[in-house]
Amino acid sequence: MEFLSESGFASLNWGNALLILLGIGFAAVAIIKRTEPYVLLPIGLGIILGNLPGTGLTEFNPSGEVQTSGIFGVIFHYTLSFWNILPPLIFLGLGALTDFGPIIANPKTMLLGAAAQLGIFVAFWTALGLGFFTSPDLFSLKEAGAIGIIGGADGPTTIFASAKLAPDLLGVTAVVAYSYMACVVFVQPPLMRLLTTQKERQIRMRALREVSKTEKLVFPAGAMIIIILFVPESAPLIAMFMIGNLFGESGVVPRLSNAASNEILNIATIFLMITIGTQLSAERVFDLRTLAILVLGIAAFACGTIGGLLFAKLMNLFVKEKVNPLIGSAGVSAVPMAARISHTLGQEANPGNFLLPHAMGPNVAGVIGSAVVAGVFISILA
Amino acid sequence: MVADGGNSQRSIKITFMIEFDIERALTTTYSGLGAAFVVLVFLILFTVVVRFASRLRPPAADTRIDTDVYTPATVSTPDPVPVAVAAVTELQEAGPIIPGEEDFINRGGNGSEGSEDAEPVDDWKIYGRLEAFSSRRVERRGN
Repeated sequence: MEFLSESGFASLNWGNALLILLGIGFAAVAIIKRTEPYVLLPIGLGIILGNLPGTGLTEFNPSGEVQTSGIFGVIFHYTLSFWNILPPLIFLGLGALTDFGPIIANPKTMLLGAAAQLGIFVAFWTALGLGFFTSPDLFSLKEAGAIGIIGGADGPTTIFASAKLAPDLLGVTAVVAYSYMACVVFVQPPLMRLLTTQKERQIRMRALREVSKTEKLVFPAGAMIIIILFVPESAPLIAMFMIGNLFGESGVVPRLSNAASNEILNIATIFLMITIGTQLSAERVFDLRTLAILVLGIAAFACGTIGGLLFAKLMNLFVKEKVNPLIGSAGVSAVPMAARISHTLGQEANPGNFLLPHAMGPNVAGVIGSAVVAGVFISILA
Repeated sequence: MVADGGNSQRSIKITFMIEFDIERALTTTYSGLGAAFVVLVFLILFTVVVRFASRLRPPAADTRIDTDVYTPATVSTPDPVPVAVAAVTELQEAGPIIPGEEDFINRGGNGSEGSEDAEPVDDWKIYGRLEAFSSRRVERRGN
């Protein structure tokens, strides 16, 4: 019996047990339903590990005489909260996988990516507002900024901003961002149907023009310079994103491009997802702030979707060639799920509709837009 | 502001925090949303400029030599067809290089089909054949 009193069972509380079940649920959904397996499986396993008591896996004590830091504590400290290198590495890989063709071919759709950032500001103000109704200390300005970035629907950007603005909330904001990104298929379609008419959903968009290689090469280089000059704080994300893209588009460094989009992206994803999962311990999750972040996160996603949709409708009042408002919702980053949803709903309304390439424009612009807003938040609030 | 001492202190504190926070929050909001729109508008303009600039370039003005493409007018490369034919002829004339090579070829490389009395050829013989062949080609070329 003495053995049992020293084992993990003795320290296991109901909160840990509940979260272990949640972790198993995440892993099960990933394996059985194949829903976002690259996100849900490692996060689920991380949640399970983070809630097994007595392991010390998430501890970080660099100053002690005896080394007691756990592997995930070390990874969390050095790659996220202190150096914050994993989100830019993920952006390098995403850049190598990204095709800027759709936004170069139809640049006005970039504005939809900016409009969909509305969710960030709604969540930001709501987080501040909640403090006025409950306790002024519920969320500080920095924490409200970190929560707001969830509305950008971009996991690495959320982590990057949270690590700078509110490291204590990093685990929760990251898991909320990734979880809602996985659930975007349930969140967006009802809003998209509600805010558009059948006639609007049936709008067919002309096939995109072919983009020359010169344009594909000049765009990332020029965009990198322009964005970083405007918002220097966004440089770690934007620079890596554009470098990754230039590797791919140049065609002269296939090994580098492949390494960025395969090995580096995969390794970064493994460490990032598992470590984020381990941060969801019972002590962090079961309090008022976490519950508030869960509500704010979904509100942010919804508002981002609404912002994109309404802006697309507004654009249609001024442009000669109408855009299908469904592509506006793809302005929340969530690449490429949000674009796929726009495409699917477009085909439901009109089987001849092929919206995927059109929706990829605002989708990629959303990635840039959320990185820009995160840079502004960091420069003003951090 | 509330009349009694304890509450008034709290009210003052909250009012101060709200005023301070609102100012920075507003700055953050209009800067963030403004930056997103301004940056993307600049990117749109940049895209348009790049498109027109790439259209302006006349194709005839491009005098660079693309080394990936065979261009007889500018690069003095021998016609590849006669070269390939000559190489095949040379190989045919060379005949078997090491004993048993014909059997090896008859057996379909290193497969199991072929004449039953053929000598089994192992990998070392293949390497030996290649080595002998390459050294003979070097001798024939005289360098």
